[in-house]
Amino acid sequence: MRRPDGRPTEEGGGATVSQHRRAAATPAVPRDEGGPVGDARLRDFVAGEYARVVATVELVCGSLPTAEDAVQEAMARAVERSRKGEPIDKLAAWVTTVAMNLARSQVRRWGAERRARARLGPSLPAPDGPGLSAEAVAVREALAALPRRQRQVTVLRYYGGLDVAEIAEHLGISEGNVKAMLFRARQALASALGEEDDRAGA
Amino acid sequence: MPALDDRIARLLDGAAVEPTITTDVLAAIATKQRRRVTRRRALTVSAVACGLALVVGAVGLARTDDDPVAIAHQRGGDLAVRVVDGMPTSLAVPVGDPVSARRVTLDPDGGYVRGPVLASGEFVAVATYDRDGDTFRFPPSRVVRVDRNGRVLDEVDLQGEVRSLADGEGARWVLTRDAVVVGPADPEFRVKRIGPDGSVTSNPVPPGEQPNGDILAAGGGVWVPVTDGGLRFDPASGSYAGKIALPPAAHRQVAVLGKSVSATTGGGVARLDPTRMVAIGPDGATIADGEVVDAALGTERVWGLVQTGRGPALVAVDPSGALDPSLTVALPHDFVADRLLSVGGRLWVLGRAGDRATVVMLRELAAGRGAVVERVVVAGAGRDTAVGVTDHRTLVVADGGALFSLTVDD
Repeated sequence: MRRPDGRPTEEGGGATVSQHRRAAATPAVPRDEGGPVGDARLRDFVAGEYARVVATVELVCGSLPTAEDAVQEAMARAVERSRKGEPIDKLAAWVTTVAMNLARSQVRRWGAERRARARLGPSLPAPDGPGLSAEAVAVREALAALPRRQRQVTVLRYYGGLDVAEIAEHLGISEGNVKAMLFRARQALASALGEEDDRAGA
Repeated sequence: MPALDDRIARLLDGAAVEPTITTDVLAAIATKQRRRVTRRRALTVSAVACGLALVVGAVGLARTDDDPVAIAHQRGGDLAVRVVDGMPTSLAVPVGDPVSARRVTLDPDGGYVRGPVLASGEFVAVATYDRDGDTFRFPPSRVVRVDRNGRVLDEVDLQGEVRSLADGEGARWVLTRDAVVVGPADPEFRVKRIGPDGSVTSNPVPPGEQPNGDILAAGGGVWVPVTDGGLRFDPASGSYAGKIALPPAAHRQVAVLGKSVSATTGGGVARLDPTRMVAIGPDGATIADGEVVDAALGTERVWGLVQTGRGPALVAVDPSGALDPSLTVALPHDFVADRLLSVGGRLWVLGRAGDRATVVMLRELAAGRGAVVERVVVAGAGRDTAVGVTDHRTLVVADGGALFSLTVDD
């Protein structure tokens, strides 16, 4: 994982496969103990899970400001829902799902902007900064090329650390559907990134 | 986990971008909660109003912009300021040396001082409100002009929350926001013209238009940037005169760039033609994953302030309004920039780093070779901080209800 300055965090950059497996044992979209969404739980969420949840949404929608705004809006809704007496068991997963939907709506609204910009002329890459590596850019482009639902399940599975049943529950689709989308997504990613699919033909 | 799954997981981990966490997150959530409550109340009031109108056969509810509202926010004490030479890698951790800011006491006391801050060499214009404990309330609101010692030169009474100030086209201009908006047909924003004699004319911004930048009076119009264009108001009367359509943008500024007025389009800069009411340009490339949030004419060239998910940057703008990324100046990555000013031969980028107002001061290099960061100023103990630039080395800061003056360079 990278911070906006491009410097890897302790847990992410340079990690070997085995190190990564250990990190993956702690899911990116963690489970909490549930209960009312009060100030203390909100503070804990911001301190412990907020950044990772925003990064999850950003991987799907492609815009950090949009992802942050959507996650904050989702958190406000979580508080409101809790005050009405409707408990949220898995706050991070709930916020992630709601924020993904909010971000999608926002991105859709900005579709007109993108089309207008396209009419104005060709796009340039973002200015060089202390940002992402070439590999990271390639990954993000490959991810962006996936259909939205495939992108969602891919990010929730491989970055969020949710299992198939959890993804199905949060997205309101069947487990079989999740598996099929994951299969197609990993094929597409393998092709785009020049990776060998070890399940090909299986 | 098979090798490819493991590889995809590691690649995504390396490609993910985390935000910089600050205490602002909790404040932002609280703000969103308040907005949700306000929206719900507005809908409820609107529904009740419609019901009443049906019952009594009346049409609508007459309303002015003087319904009261109190704003609670964190009060600052003395202004804490740090100044950093050059460009630090991050502003999230304490860096730089503390410097003292001079508190400017208004004479006579104007109440709670708040941004926007419109600074010039001769005076500073700010908004003031009635105090409400450590906070403030409105209406009424006031726009005051003070000299460098805090002496109040004049004061104009208004009603709504003061959002931005401008000076030009023979008058002074204020964009205000009403304390309460009853329904979608009710004006939320108003453009107020303050004539040379101090008289105020209030003109509603068409309901539904969302100003997303500062008001500007220049180039034959008074301009209010909105989500999908630039609104023009007539300089003589202050009345609404039409909209120039622009590509939708979340943030927009209108600026004088040479002989004409231009607006940021999100992907570049477009010139506004007040006669034909059309936008011209940009002709060429635009930015892919960022947004041009402001533009200013430096001593050598026009610069666009670009905010991307990876941080802000200054990018040169060519004469057609398109970006020229061959001249790019990266700014501190955890700095959210929203204004670019050209004052005293320097470029000033205003924004926030975490919950602190932050100013980046840049010097343009000779022969158009770009710019260098000279100073980064991190100021403000509260979240209600606004900054203005008076001259090549002086900042004026409204913070926590008080006004401060700050010298950032010898």
